[in-house]
Amino acid sequence: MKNFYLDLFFGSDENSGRANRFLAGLTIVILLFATYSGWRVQNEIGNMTEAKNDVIPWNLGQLEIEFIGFSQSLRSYEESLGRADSEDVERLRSEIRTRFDIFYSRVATINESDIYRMVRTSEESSDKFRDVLTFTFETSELIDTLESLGVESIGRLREQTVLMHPTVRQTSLTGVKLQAIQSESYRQRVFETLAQYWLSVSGLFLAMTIVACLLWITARALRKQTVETLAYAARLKAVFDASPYPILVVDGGDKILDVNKAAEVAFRYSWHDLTALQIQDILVQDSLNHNADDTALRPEVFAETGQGSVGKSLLARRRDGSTFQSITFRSTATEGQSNDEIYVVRDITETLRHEKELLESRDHARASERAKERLLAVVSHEMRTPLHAILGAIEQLDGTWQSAKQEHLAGIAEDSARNLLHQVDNLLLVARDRSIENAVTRKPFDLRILVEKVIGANSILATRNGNHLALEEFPQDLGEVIGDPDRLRQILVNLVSNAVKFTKDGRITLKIRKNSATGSIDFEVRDTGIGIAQDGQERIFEDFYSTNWTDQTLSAGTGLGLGITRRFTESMGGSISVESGLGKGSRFYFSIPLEEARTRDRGRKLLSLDPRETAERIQDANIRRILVAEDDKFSRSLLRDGLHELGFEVSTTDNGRDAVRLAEQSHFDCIILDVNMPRLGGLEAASEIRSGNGASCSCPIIALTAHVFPEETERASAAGIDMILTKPILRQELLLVLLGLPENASAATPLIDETQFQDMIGLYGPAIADEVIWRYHQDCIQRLDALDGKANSKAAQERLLKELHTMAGSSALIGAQQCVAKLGELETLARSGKFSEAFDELPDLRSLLELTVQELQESLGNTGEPQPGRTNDPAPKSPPAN
Amino acid sequence: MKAFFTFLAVFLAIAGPARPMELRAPTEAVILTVGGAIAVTNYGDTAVFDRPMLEDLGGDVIVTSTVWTNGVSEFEGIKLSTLAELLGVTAGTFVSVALNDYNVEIPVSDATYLEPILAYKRNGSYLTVRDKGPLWVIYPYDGNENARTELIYSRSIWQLDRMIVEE
Repeated sequence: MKNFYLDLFFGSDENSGRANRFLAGLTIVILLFATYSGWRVQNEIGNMTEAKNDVIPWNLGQLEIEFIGFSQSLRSYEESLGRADSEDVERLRSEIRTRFDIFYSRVATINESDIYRMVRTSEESSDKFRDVLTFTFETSELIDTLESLGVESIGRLREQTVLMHPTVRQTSLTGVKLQAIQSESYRQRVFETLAQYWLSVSGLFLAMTIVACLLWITARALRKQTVETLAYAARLKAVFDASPYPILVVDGGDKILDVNKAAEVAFRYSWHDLTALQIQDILVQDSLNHNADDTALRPEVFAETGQGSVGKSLLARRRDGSTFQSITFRSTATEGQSNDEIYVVRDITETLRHEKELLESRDHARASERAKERLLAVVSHEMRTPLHAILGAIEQLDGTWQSAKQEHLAGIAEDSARNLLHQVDNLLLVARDRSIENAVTRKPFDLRILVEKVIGANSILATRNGNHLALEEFPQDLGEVIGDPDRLRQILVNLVSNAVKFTKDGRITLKIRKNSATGSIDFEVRDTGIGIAQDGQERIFEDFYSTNWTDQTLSAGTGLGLGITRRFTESMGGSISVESGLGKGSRFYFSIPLEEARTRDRGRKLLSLDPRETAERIQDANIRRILVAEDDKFSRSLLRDGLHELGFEVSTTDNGRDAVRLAEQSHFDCIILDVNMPRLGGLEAASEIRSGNGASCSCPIIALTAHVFPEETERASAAGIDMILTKPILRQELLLVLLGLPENASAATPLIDETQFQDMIGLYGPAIADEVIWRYHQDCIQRLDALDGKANSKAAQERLLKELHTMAGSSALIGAQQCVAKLGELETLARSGKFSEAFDELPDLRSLLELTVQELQESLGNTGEPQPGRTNDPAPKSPPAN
Repeated sequence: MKAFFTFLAVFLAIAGPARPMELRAPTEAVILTVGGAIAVTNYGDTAVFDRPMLEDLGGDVIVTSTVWTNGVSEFEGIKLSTLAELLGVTAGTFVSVALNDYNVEIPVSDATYLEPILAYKRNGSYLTVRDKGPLWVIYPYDGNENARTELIYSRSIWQLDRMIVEE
C-alpha cells in the first residue's frame, strides 16, 4: 500500500542533517585545498617548462671560440698584407669585420643580458670582463677604420689580441661555475616544488581518507536509521491494521488516502472504494443538533480546539446509507509539505445503548427508592397516628383510675406505646438518612440546655427503673457551640434512653468535657446496667443488631438506635466507642468537633414545666378561640379535649374546606390544620384563609404533620403557616406554642406585652429569661445585619420576607409586641411588592428593637430573684417536651 | 589570436595580391639565402633576398622582452609564415645557419604555431652584425608562454645568414 508512515519519520533526523552539513563543508575545504595544490603543482611545472635562461656555458664558450675566429682572421690578414695580394686582402678584411662583429655581438649580449649578470658582477670575473669590454670597444674603432691601418698597427692589434686571449678564456670559463650555481638552484627549486607537491598530495589523501571515513559512518548510521524506521513503520502498520477502530488517513484536500480493515468493515466499503471518497462523504455532523443542510463535515468542527486528539460526536454513513453514531478523534500528521489528517472513528452505538440502559435502571432504582420512602413515610404516618391516639387516650385517663392495678396496666400500656413510637421514629430516621442526603446543619446552640432537655426527657423512665440520672460534669466556661443540635440530641437521646432502659436501680451519669488536644467535645454516658458481652460490642453499632435479651421486661427495640448514633456521630466528623462487660455496666464515649461560638458564662437552669402553674397563666393569655381541622377522629377528639381542658374554646372540623369556611365566618385566635386532610389539605386551606378577606385571615396558623420533609417546610411557609408541629402533638408542647404565638393585630401597642413577658419569666425563670432576651437580641441583630442591603434581587426580597416572619415569631414569643406590629407592617408592605419601602424602614426597626431589649432587661431586673425549687423537678405524669 | 592569424593568413592567401610567380633579383647585398625544397627560386636552386625585398614582403612587429636583451624591445621583421608561403613551403624544417655557422632546425609548423618573425629592426633601427643582425629570429616570448622554453630559445637564431628547407 503506502509508505505513508515511512514518510512520517524519514528525513527529520537532526543528527544526519548535521553530519551532512559537516561533510559538505569538509568536502568544500578539501576541494579548495586540492585546487590550490593542483594550481601550485601546475605552476611549478610551468616554471620548469619555461626556461629563463639560454644555454649559458655554450654562449660563454662561444665567446672564446669567436674570439679565436677573430684572432685567426686577423693573423691571416696580417700575413696577406705581407704578400700584397689586394684581391685576397679585401676578402680577408671583410672576414675580420664579420668575425669581430660576431665577437662584438657576443660581448654586447653578455654586457646587456640579465642572465650574464654574474659574469659582470662576480668578484673573480668582473675585472676580466671589464678588460674584455674595454678591448672590444677599442678594437671596434680600429676595425671600423681597417683599410687605413698599416702593417704595424695590425701587428700591434694582433699582439694585443694574443695577450687578451687568456682573459677571454677566463671569462668563458666563468660560465662553467655559473652553470654549476644555476644547476644547484634549479635542483633546489625542483626539490621544493616536489616537496610542496608531496605535501599537497598527502593533504589531499588525508582529507579524502577522512571523507571516506565520514561517508562510511554516515552510510552506516543511515542504514541503521532506515532499518529502525522501517521497523517502526511496520509496527505502526500492524497497529493500524489491528486497530478495532476504523482509522482514516486523509490528505489536506479531505481526500481519503488510506483506511484500515476496521474501516472497511465499519463503513462496508472496500479499500478502493473508500479511497475514492472524500471524508465528508462518510462523516457528517449529527443532524439532531444541526440543520439538515448543515450536516456536512466542515473544518470548523475540529478547528475550534486546534490540533490534537479531540473527540467529536459525528454521524458515520455506511455504503448503504445507514448511519451510526461515532466519537471521532482527529490529529494532524505534519511532515514537510504533506499535511495529512488521521481520523479515528469509534462506533458508540453500543455505548449509547448501555448508557440508556444504565439511565433506565438508575431511574428505575430511583423510582423504587422514592416508592420505598413514600411507603415508609405513609407507614410511619399510619402507625404514628394510632399511637398518637393511644398515648393521648391514656393521658386523658390520667387521674381517673379506680385502682392501682388499672393505673399499673395503664402505665405499661403507655410505656409500650411510647417505646413503639420511639422505634417508629428510629425506623423513620434510618429510612430518611439512607434515602435523603441530609446535610449536617451548622448553627449555634446552647449545649447545656440541649443536654438538660435530654436528661429531663428520660428522667421519668429513669425514676421508674429506680435509676439516678445526672449530669456530673460540664465545662464551666463553655458558651454556645456551633454544630447540628438535632443530630447531637438524637445521639444523646439514644445513648441515655438505652442506658436508662438497661439499668435497674443503678446510676446513669453524663460527663461532658472539652478536649483541648483535639478541639472536640468529649461525651461520656456511663451506666451501671447489665452491660454488653465482648463479642457484642463490635456489632452493636450495626443496623438492626440486637442482643438476645432473656428479660422481656427490658425489651429491646429494632436495633437501630446505636446504628443511627454511629452514623450521626460520623456525619459530624466524630467517633464513638464503648467499654463494657456483662454485668459491669457500659461506658459509651463519643467525641464530636464542636466549635465554640463565644464564651459566655451564665448560670443555666433545667427547663421544666409545671402544668398547674401554666394552667393558671392560660387564664391571662390572649388566645381564647381555637379552630382545629383534623381528619383523624381520635386525634381530633384528643386535641379538642386537651385544649378544652386547658381552658380554650375549641371548634373542630374534619376537612380543610370547612376550615376555610369557618375561618371566613368567625374570628379565631389560632387555627390548627392537619396537613393531610380529604377535600382540602392543610397547606391549601391555609393559603386560602390567608389570601381571603375573612374574619380570621390574619390569625396564627399551626400545621400538624406526621412527617416533615424539607420542601414541605418551604411550602408551608409560602402558604402562610406560622409553625409546623410533628405528630403526635403532646399537650404541653402545644401549650408552649400557643403561649408563644403572635397575637392578633392590636390597636394599643405598648413596647412589650408585660403579661406575656411575665409568663415567660414564670415559664423559664429569670436566668433563662435573661438568656432568652440576650439570644433574641443577638438573633435579631444578626438577621438585620444580613438584610443590610437593597431590594435589588429576588433572593434579597425572599430573604426579607423570611427574616421578617421569623423575627415576628421570636418577638411574639418574648412579648415584644410593638416589634411584632412593626414587623407585621413591614411584611404587609413587602407582600404588596413595596420592597424598597420595607428595606427603608429597617433602621427604624433596629432602634425599636434596641428600645424593646432595654425595656425587657429593665422589666426582668424588676422581677427580682429567680423562684426557687423549680429545677430538676419534672412533672411525674406529664410527658416531657422534646 | 592564433585563430585570427590563421584566418588572416588564409584571407591574405585568397584575397591578397597575387603571389609573384617569380622572385626578382636582389639589388643590394644579399642578407638571406634560402635553399633546399622550395618552389620559388631566383638564384640557381636558391632564393636570395636583400633587405628591401624582405621589407617589401610586409613588416610585422613583435613587442617583447628577451633573455638576451635588457627591457622590452620592438622588433620588426618578416613573418616566417610569409616567407614559407612565398617559397611554397608547407612542411618540413628550416635548417637555419648563422654567420658563425651555428645552426638549428626550425619546424615549418612553428611558422603558423608560434608565428616567429625574421627581425631586421630593433626599436626602429636596422640590426647590424654587432646587434645580432642582419636577421634575428624572434618569437613572441612575452605573448606566448610556449615560446619561453629552451628549445625555442635555441631556435631564436641571430646573425641568420641562410636557410635550407628539408622535407
